Amino acid sequence: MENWLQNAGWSREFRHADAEVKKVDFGTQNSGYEGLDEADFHFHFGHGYKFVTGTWLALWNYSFCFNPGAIVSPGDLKKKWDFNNEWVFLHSCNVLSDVRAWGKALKYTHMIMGFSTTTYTSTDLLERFFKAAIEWDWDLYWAYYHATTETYKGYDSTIKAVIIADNSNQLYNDRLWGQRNVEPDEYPDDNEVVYREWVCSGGG
Amino acid sequence: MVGLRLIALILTVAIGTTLHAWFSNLNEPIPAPLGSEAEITLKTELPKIKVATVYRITDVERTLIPPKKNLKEVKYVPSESEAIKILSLSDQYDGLVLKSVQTITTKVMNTETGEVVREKPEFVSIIYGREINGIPVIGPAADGIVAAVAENEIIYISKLWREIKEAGKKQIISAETAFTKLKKEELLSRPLYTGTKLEVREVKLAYYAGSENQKYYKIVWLFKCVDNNGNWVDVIVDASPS
Repeated sequence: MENWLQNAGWSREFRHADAEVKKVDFGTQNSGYEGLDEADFHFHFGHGYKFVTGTWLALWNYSFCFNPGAIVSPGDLKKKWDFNNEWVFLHSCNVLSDVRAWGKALKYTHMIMGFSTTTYTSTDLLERFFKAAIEWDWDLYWAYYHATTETYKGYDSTIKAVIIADNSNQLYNDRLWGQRNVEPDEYPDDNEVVYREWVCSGGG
Repeated sequence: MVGLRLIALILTVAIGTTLHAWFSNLNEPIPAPLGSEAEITLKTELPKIKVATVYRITDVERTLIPPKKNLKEVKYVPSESEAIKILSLSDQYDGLVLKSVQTITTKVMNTETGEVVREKPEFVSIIYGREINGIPVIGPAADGIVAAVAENEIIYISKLWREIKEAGKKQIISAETAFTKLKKEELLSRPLYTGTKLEVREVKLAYYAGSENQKYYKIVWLFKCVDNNGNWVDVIVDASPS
């Protein structure tokens, strides 16, 4: 992933792993250190949960029984992504099953890509995504459709990918920086998001 | 902001999962995908198969037709049955299995009310997979065909299909042994879900394609499980004797 981006002229803002990852890295603050909201593109890999009370991303020391507070929930992010970020890629299970809650994070951020069901670790997913988005210069939604269906079509159970955009111009026209077109931020922000979900595995 | 190209990566994990394959040079620990708190129970009979047919891959067909149009231009989407006819693949590939056909729509939601205020159909997404003598080919580089159909034409298609030849029989580990491996988390496929309960509902043999360049399919045991939220989870264990 980093090779793709660095070769296309991107630079790394931060890379945190495991215990280094804090809630604040997800852009929960609107001043001082703003985490992912200081970067144009953010990739997250880790466990995601869906429960009767909502969805959340689990931090390193999360335990369902012993440390249930070590999470990032969409409530922590409502209208918080308003600084520099355009795109967030969440390689995590389940969380985008709640479009309404995660969509509220999109104040000026353009797009969240993720999954509404179980997903699986894969070295191919990002490789295919960046090949389509950078080398082939595809619109982001086509790059994400291609990457998810190519990577997961051979799985037997249902895997669903979701893309949520702040408005339809961004959904239809955004490419990565350096790939011809990025739509403007939505200003003034409204309370609508545009989204699309598809089965990317064998399950129907 | 325009002009800046910055990337942030966060690699978070609840219970030891890391990007092992991507950053193996960092010597990070093996992921624990099912979670140290997961309770795994068997709710099905285990097959008694001990021998499986091996297939050698002799050639690979790889076709990609890039997206022909921006979806905002789409004015008409055929029915799912019409879309399958437009694609018309079923006689061309031995073992082709229709796995998913779905009309994809774009929805506009008001996040304050949760109401979907507009919806537009944009294409029919079709996914075909492969079975060899009734055994599915699975994995991240499995044989299959993915197509998008709109306005009575194929607007995107990606094919990966292998020519194969039977290459004999092979002893495999029993399903019981594979289940023991599953509980020890000796897996080929790592779900990112970390549930508290996992029920094994079905167990079957499968051929596993991990990369486009492999010479043989790996023979695996596929454990089809259901988590405590009712989601199906595939767990894959290598069937080769160690």
